[in-house]
Amino acid sequence: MTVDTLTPNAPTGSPLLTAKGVTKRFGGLTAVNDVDIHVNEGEVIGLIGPNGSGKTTLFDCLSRVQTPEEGSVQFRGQDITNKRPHKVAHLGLARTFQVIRVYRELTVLENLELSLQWKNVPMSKRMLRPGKAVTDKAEKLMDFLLLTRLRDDRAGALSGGQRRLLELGMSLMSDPKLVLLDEATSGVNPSLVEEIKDRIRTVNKELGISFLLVEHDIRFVKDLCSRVVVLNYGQKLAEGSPESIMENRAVIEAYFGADGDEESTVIDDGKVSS
Amino acid sequence: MDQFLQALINGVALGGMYAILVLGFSVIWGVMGVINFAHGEFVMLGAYMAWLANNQLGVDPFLSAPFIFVLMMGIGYLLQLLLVNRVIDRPHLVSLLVMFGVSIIMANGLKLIFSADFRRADSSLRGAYDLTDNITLPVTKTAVFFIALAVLGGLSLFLQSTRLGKSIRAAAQNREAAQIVGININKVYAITFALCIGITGLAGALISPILSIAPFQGPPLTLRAFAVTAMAGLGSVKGALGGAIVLGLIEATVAVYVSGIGTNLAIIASFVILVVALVVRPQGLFGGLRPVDATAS
Repeated sequence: MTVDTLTPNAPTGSPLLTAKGVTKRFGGLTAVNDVDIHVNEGEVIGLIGPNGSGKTTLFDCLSRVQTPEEGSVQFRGQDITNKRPHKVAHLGLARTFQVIRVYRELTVLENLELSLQWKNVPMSKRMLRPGKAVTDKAEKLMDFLLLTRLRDDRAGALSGGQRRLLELGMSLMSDPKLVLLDEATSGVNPSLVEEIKDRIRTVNKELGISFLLVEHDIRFVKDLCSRVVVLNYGQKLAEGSPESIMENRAVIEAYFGADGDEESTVIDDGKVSS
Repeated sequence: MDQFLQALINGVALGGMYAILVLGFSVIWGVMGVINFAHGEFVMLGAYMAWLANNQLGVDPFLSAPFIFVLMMGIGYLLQLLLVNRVIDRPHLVSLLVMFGVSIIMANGLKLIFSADFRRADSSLRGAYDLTDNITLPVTKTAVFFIALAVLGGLSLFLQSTRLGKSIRAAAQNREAAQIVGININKVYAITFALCIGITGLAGALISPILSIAPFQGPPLTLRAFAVTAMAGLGSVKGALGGAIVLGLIEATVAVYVSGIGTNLAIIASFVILVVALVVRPQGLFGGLRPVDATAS
């Protein structure tokens, strides 16, 4: 396993992404309401909350797929609130989607090669096949993500877990500084979840790539994240270490309702349960 | 038997012509989700350019075609930048109506410039080549058929192999995700539109010695493009060829075997296919960049 072709980031702990007062409405529904969130260089942060709490909408605002009505988003010292999505991607912000969006008609290799096509590539070179450097990098990532034997398979033929790995690979192809992972383990079998966790840890430790994870698997969050942000009804409910969040009364109530029985309501080291 | 073989030859040749006529329409719809209602008018514009070069300068349409391709690409690029890009995020109906407006402006503009007279360009590639005593090969259409094959092959190679072509396919499959991996979607759309309008103008130049050129001859071509695209699958290059040949064969067979009303019946037949294809197999007979009913995902 090698990731040496990717360019390491220096984990300095300085602010990488800072969003302030982000608000997004859909008609009468305020999906995200005045949320502040920040990610420092080298951090892995968890973003959790009940279904419909606004996690994915917040991701959309941060990656500029959606335009927030209010608030600002700074990434690597630049205001990206009004930048177009591909410009944000070129700055080093990558993301995956809750509903997997690999290109089903393209092969695994072609999916990976796509990520670098528009970054500093002159028009004359776009008329050619992807260069050797791009293919080499894709091959290294396929090796790293256990996808080598599926190199020439159409992405539409992969299993859910393999597609998640491919999406992770696509997000890593462009040497990102920060990756937003939307439910990287949903629909993935448990053994592959461990692999995904291991890969995230490796690129974070060795290359200093930061992650912001939306995740329902609490054990996954606890194992990877140094800090957790909880959303509920579009607002930030709590923020802190995974341990403090799991004991937080307001968080437990958000998941189970205000009259949840304290004795039987726990967030154990696996899934949320009662 | 001779009659059947003749229908077969006519049908395949006609199919090749339809293939290059509908290609641009199909790819614009498949990649951008824009139904180019002005497609037939772009064909006519290309045909008028070829006619003008033929009439004024004596240039054969087959020679002016490459220049018309480049000129029409420029027109397509500008139109995309000034017009289509501004409505592409709105519901499909908006872009459809905008292109409908463009088609009326173009048709009437062509009438103002060229009058409503029917025109036809002259090519040195004309007449029929006798294969046997009873079977002939239409020379112009056969030439168009082989040029169509070359253009389709070239476009297919471009979409399959080049970085830009893959970006276009990615944008067709998922607009948002394409942007997330750093693809400038507006540029992809502008290039796609330019390329398709270029091909459409080229097709117009190629058919200028075959079909009548007149300002209001566009809509029947747009409607055939609908029929072939629905049958073929959106944005599918090999589908455009397959669908066009099926349509050509049906039209040629009906025209040969049903005397008198054959030509009208042929048009009816092609739209029966459109309706049946949409009801029975909405994803198209040959697959495509995306199914007909997909809008975003």
